Amino acid sequence: MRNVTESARHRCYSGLSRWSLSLTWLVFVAVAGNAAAQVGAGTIKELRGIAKVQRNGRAITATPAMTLVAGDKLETSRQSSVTIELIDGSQLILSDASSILIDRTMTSATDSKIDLFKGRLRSVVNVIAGKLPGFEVHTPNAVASARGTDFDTQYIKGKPCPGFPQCLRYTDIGVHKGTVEVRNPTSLKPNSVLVAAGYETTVPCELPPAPPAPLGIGDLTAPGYH
Amino acid sequence: MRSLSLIWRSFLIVTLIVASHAAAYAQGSTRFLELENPGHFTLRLFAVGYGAEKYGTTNAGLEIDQTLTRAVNVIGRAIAYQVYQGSGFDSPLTPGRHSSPRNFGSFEGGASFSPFRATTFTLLGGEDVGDSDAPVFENDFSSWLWLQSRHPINLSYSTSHYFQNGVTNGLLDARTVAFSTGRLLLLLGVGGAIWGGGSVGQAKGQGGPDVGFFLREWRVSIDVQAGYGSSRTYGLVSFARSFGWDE
Repeated sequence: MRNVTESARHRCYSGLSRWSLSLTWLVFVAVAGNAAAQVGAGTIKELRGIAKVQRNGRAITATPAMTLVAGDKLETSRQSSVTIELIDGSQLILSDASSILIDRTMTSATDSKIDLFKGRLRSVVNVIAGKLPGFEVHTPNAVASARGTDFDTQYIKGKPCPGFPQCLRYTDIGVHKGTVEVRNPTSLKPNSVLVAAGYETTVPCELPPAPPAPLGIGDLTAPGYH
Repeated sequence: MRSLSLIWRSFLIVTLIVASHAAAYAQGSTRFLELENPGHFTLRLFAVGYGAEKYGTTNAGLEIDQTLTRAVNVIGRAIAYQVYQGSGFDSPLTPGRHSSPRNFGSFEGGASFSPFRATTFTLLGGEDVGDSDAPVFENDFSSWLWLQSRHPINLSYSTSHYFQNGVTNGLLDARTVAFSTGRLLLLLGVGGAIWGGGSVGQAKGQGGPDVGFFLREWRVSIDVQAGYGSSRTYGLVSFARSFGWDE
């Protein structure tokens, strides 16, 4: 009888041990997973005005030298701007009244994806040892893939698109250095356009990107210049 | 009379350009009525130097521009002129015997209208003060064609009438973006001026190639033109810098 009870107790302990091991492993995996998700994506290098960071459903006021992690959503107020230095040395300059999500960031200088919901973002992509990282900026109607190092992305909603007045949401991409490939994933025509340094393109609504035009030509079309 | 005829011809060309734009960008009257949001204020500083065998002048000033609606801006200009010798394409003065420089200021106000993208008409009126002290009227037009291409073309004219000496002038310019880099735009083209009437009498003209640079980061434009005409060999250099603020 004693032997039976001890045997049962042993089986019980053995079962508990397996459960505790499994639980420990689950806790470890959860913690490790959380740690991976919390990997620093970069830091706020410069802050002008007011910006908010949305992290895990909480709004935090951005401060200089603050660490940003993958999944952070950053929003600037009017007359504010933020410069972020990513872990690979690339820089993101977020203009006023703009909003981005650091979707996934570089841990090995590859594959960085930034979502731009509104406003303007300047991306200065760091080239490490001559290798171009996979760097993409996504807006609701455009994807800009860096083949170069320095470009502006601006998403505008609620204003007529120049040249396409019926369209009220569009993306402008201007390239300062290198080349950027631009496409509209919501377009039925999957054409992409290569935009070289000194040129810009517009992606109107669900249409393919427009042919590149000289960067900043809008400044020359304003009244007073002729 | 010949100068006026040429101005009318250029006006006709411009009308055809506008008509083609109108067909492409028919948008109704909403551009004229919708308030620009956010509004934009622009300050432009400029300086121009002109030298020819028969005429020499410099002018410098500022222009302020405030958006009202998407198609209407109000504009004000204040310019200080100095005429060193002779009478030329943009002088409201009658030729004088004395050779000392003559100075005057010009204050103008008006509005610009952009019925379509990259096309603007500007109407300005004002008065000179100093050695010239009569009213002045100015009308500018600028249109960019094939804007969504690597080499857009700009056609522009500017006409002024000086009530001081009764002279009317017209400046014409056609140019294209030759190339663009991350830092600057290079523009190449041809330009010239036609002027006549009043104290000048018969139409006169000049023309030649022009080169322009636009430094994007600084919003600075530098334009150089040289050529030959009624004032013989001439050269023109202009410099402008713009500052802009969203409201």
